[in-house]
Amino acid sequence: MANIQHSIQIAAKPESVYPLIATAKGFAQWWAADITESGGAVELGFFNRATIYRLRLTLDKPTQVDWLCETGAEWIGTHIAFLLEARGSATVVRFTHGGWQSETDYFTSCNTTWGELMFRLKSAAEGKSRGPLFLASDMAY
Amino acid sequence: MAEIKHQISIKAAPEMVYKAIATQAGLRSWWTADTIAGQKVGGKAEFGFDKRAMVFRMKIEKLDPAKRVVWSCHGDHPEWAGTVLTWDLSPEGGGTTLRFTQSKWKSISDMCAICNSTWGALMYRLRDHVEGRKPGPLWKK
Repeated sequence: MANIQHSIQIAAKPESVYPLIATAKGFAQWWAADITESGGAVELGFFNRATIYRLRLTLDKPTQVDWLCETGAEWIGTHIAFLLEARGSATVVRFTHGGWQSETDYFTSCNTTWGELMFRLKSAAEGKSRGPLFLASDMAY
Repeated sequence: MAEIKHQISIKAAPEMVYKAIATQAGLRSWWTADTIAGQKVGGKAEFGFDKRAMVFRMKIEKLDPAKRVVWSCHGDHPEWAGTVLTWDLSPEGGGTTLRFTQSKWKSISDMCAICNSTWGALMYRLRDHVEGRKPGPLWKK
């Protein structure tokens, strides 16, 4: 099993970061524009829905949010966890995308993309949103 | 020994990507404005952050035009000292696949996770620079 791990400090309190990582509306601000909710899960569409990731919320606490991925050749069965730790008036986000079968090229590309996404999450939480990295049909710049 | 691995596709020839990682002007365009980089194997590459509150000091180990750049880090950050940074370029359908590894970390620490996120964002910035979108460096002077 392989894991992707990231960490970033955000100049905002955990309660401001939480909605960005726990809701479809939140994801749409920094991750993917094409996002819908259905049956207790969220579906994120990439490149005109050539890829769809369906994520189910499995833990929903103010300082920890876990998602289970239910689709995708390499993502199925993987889990995404956001841990929020208050540090003064700031938040340290510890992120894990775990349970990968192996360290493929796609695993490495996703690691890179998660790094960029952490910075977009930070911008959104700090009120300087750059918008989502993935538009419905293409990537944003 | 832990390592950080990244991968990104860039819509430009390997020669163009090489300029961005092997020359002072290139490195100043996406990483830190405070970069001093030699042009020869055995020379120095120095990267300053926040008015040189931190400097990453490298020795240039390999310069293989359009293919590979290797640096060894010897300071000043205690966790970076001893790490080896390798940039590999391979042509892919008119563009380039960039593979980056920072190896020989002593352990998977918080700093390692923070740097992993930052490298991810930097890969996107490097790509944007090479593809002509002028993102500027993540660390300005």
